[in-house]
Amino acid sequence: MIDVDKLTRRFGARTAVDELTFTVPRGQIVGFLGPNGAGKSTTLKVLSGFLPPTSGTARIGDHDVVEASLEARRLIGYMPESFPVYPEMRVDEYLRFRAEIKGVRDRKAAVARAMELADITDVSRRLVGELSKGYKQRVGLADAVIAKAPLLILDEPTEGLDPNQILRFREVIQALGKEHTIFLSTHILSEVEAVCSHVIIIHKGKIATAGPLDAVRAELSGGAREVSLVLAPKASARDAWAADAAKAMRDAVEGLDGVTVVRAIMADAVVRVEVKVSSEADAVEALVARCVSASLGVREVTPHGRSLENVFHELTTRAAEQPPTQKESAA
Amino acid sequence: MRAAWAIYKRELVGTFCSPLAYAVMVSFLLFNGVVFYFFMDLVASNPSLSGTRGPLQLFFGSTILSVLTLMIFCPATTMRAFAEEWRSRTAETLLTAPVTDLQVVLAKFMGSMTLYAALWVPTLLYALVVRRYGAVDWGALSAAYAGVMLVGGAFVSIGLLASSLAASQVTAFVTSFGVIGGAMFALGLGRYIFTEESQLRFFSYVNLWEHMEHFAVGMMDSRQVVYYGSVVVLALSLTVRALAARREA
Repeated sequence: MIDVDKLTRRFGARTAVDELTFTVPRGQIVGFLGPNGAGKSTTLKVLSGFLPPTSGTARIGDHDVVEASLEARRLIGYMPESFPVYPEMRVDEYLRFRAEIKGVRDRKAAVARAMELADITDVSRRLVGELSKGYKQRVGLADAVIAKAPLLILDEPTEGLDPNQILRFREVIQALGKEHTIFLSTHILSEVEAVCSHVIIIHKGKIATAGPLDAVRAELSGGAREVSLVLAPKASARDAWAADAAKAMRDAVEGLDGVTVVRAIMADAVVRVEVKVSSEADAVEALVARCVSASLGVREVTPHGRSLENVFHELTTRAAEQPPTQKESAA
Repeated sequence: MRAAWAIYKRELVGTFCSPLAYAVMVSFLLFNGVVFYFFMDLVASNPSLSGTRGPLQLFFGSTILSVLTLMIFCPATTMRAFAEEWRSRTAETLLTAPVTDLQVVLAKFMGSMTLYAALWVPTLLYALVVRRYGAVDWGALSAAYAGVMLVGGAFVSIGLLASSLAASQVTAFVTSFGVIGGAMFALGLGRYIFTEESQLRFFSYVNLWEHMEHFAVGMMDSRQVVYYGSVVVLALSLTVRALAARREA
């Protein structure tokens, strides 16, 4: 559905997107992940036909975004970042306008369907300029889906939504994923984990890594997972823990394969411990079993996904040592 | 052209739902009301003037006042057109819809022309005022309005070009005011500088002051239509190009 080949976009001397190559097959929900300024929005603007590329090509379906721009644009429902609106229009008026310029035939039904889907029917007669940011974003989503375009390109769609709206939004995306190919950008890793099957991570305009979500996650964590524990050691052992909790923890797990104590802090008779555990299925079980048999007083066990900060820290430091792994496709 | 029609309708909503349109209309009527009063008074107190040049002819004719009206109010109708789309980033949703840049430019042109025409509609009352005190040459008046639309069309298209390149409405206004004013005075000065017959003919052909004078007394021919029509086509084509260039930069 999206086929990008050596796409480069420069703004003056600054290279925002640098020879990007990837594909998004039909029917997938692909997350486009990167820190601010990585080149996500620029890439999406090129795909949507707004910005011409400096070099390289991008195709939507069978249409080049430059050579056959109109045909390519007809296949796309594009929602730009912080959705820009005409403040003086009412929500339904705006959507009717968008349906009309996108050539939708039964506009009344299309507007009603899009408002229902984006959950904005209750504000249909409000002025767009007066809506909160979350509602404006939802108007943007309604706009993107109004012409039933097969490909949705959403630029940071959950920005400005409250937690309830984010959950609702994810449900909507998953439902839309049954009929549409979705390419969405975000800098929130958990968002990708919640809705996407595939992920493309970019950094400084280049692909840092790409592929199915599980594979990328495993690759990023180097096979290891982080687990935090809350322990309440017996009163008799507290002195040892209070003296050096990390050492006490290392002693407790000595001999367990693939377990590394990252840190341990004792406070108010409980110890908060972070450990790295290898990815073998029973590694966590072995760790917990050891803690229980040593009567460490296990209160909580929390497995962690890796935060985006860590991911980027890792990717960028790795990039400094060796070239990043380039996968040609998200498939 | 369905898309262009949709954009045109949206332009009207955007224009007439913003206070700017009414501020422009009020200042237009205020300014021209004073000008018209001045000419009525002038003709009333100088009966010798009222031969072929009644107050309406003076109003539409080549005085600095009618020219100033065009110079100020044409840019005012267009300054918002593209500058506001760039500023609020709505250009991004507009230009990624399946519409050509030409359709967008034509819709914007028609939108600005509608506002421009709306500015002039109330001045029809001036003709009714004149009729109470004397005869109105309706033929000449039609030519005057046609001329105002023709010249206005050219200026509006130049204003659109400025708006497509500008970063803000103010820049758009100042740029188009400067370009229109500069071109008008430069072309008008030609007849005082050059002496050769062919050069004088050229400057007569492009001299807006002379055109306005002719329109006001009912003289209009196809040369002027071609002239101003060409300016519109040229400026609008450059506007289409500017929309693309701005995104390439």
